[in-house]
Amino acid sequence: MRMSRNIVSWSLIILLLALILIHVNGGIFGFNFGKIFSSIFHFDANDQSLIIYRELRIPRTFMAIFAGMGLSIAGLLMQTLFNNPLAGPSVLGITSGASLCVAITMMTGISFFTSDIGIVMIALIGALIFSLIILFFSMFVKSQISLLLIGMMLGSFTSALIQVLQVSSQANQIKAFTLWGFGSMQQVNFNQIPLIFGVFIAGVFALIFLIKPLNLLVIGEKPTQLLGIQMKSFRMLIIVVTSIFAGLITAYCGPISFIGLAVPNMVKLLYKTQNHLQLIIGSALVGACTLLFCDLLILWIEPYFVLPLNAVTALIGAPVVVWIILKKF
Amino acid sequence: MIELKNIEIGYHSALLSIENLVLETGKFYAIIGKNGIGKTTFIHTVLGLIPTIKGEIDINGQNIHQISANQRAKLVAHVPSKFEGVQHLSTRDFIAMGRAPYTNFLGKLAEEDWKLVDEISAELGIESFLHKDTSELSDGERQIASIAKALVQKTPVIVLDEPTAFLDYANRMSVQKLLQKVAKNANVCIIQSSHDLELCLEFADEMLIVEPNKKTIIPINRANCSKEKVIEIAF
Repeated sequence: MRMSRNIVSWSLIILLLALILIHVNGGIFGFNFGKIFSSIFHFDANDQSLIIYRELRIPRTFMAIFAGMGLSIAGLLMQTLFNNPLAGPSVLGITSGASLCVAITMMTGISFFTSDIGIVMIALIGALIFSLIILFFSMFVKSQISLLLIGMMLGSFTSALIQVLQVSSQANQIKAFTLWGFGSMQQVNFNQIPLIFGVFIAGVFALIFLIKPLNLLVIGEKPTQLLGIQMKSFRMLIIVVTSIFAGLITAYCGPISFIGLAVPNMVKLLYKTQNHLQLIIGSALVGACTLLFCDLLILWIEPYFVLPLNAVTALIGAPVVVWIILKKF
Repeated sequence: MIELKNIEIGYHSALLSIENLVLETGKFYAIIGKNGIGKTTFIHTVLGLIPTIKGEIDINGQNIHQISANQRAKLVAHVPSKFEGVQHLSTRDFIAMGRAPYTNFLGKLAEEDWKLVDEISAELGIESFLHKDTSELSDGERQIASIAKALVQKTPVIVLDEPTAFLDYANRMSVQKLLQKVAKNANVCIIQSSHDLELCLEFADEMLIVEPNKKTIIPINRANCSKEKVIEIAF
């Protein structure tokens, strides 16, 4: 079994590398390592091809990899914490929290919040607040479906608040927010990569402390507590890590749906384990491959018409979710 | 050894008051009482999940409400009335979870831990389904796997909350026999709540009868106990 999991992991790594190379080359089969290397380390602002790599392709590929990884890991954490295969940062309203805060900053135009650090901070705070709200409700509702409905209500409530904000906003602000809401990997520039990478690594570092409790949590909260885990601090750490991933990605890519929900379920099907070290690695690999593939579809169709990312993730993710419902409920 | 020193237990007001009670290792105790009388509250208090209103509970001289969750997990283990089973979680991995209090923050098990898991599984005669998925086990097999997990936890006290509630007669018998054997062989203090009066009278060393008027626990040795006596005190 372990052997077959290793084969799956290595196959995914090879697929990921192939997708990265195609994606960074603008969706074309044929690689130019020299250009990629030069655009990062020996950048010449007069060379137009290097500018394309540095300002457009590399940030877009980077963001697709890390957004896919982060959203899938956040989904896995939510599904284990709430013991619910349909949980995920978008379903539970966590990305809605980040969206609301980003909407407030975009439409009020306060300059600190439109800076890179400002927008990340405000999105993290929004995601954290909504995660805590969901955690609070989870203490009172026993049914898995009820919690999902509360998440959906949070989403509707947030949409309503955003509409109220839009009424008093200027046309250009509404346009910027609407485009952001479609989801996109193209809003990041090269200089923002270190900040995104740094916050992402902080989330990954915190994940190390979650593996043991997550492995126990599959048998329930009370048994986990009775095996020596401080549930209060563990729950908080899960919420913080989820908020880091969901908030960071929502700030830069918009509210991307379905990845966090569908990918962890696909990984469990592939890996057939409850070992969360393997599930996290699997979710990161499958998440990155899925989002790179979704964005490649956009790149390939781009000459004919522009597809919003959320439409592509929904086209792939929705059938997976229907399959989960038929199988588990 | 577990000592209950002048305790009052309950969520808001006292459900039960126990002056002094000492429960020894190597013995199998059965808590008998009416529904809603406070048996589960008693078990949750002994497990450290809820605090006492008054008094303290010591296991091997340590007040269980003043130590960390990890230290407590080395003193008392729990077997719930039902474990539903988890898809993609093997029985061996489930039993090995009992070693969690002894592992580092990564939760990686040492070779000795796996050896203990296999030894205890062999003692309980469950090697045949050790590599089966827990979601594919029968209710009886899952309950024995839960007891194995508690034994792997190597605690002086194991608390079971109606462990035979969802089992057929043959499985109820075999679980009771197993608990009697485990208490003696592993020198563990086993405390179970149960509605199976006949089986408790047959296998447990001592009855802990919850008296509804005085709202206290009366310990009676099996030798001095009869079904009529238990019914008279508890119901």
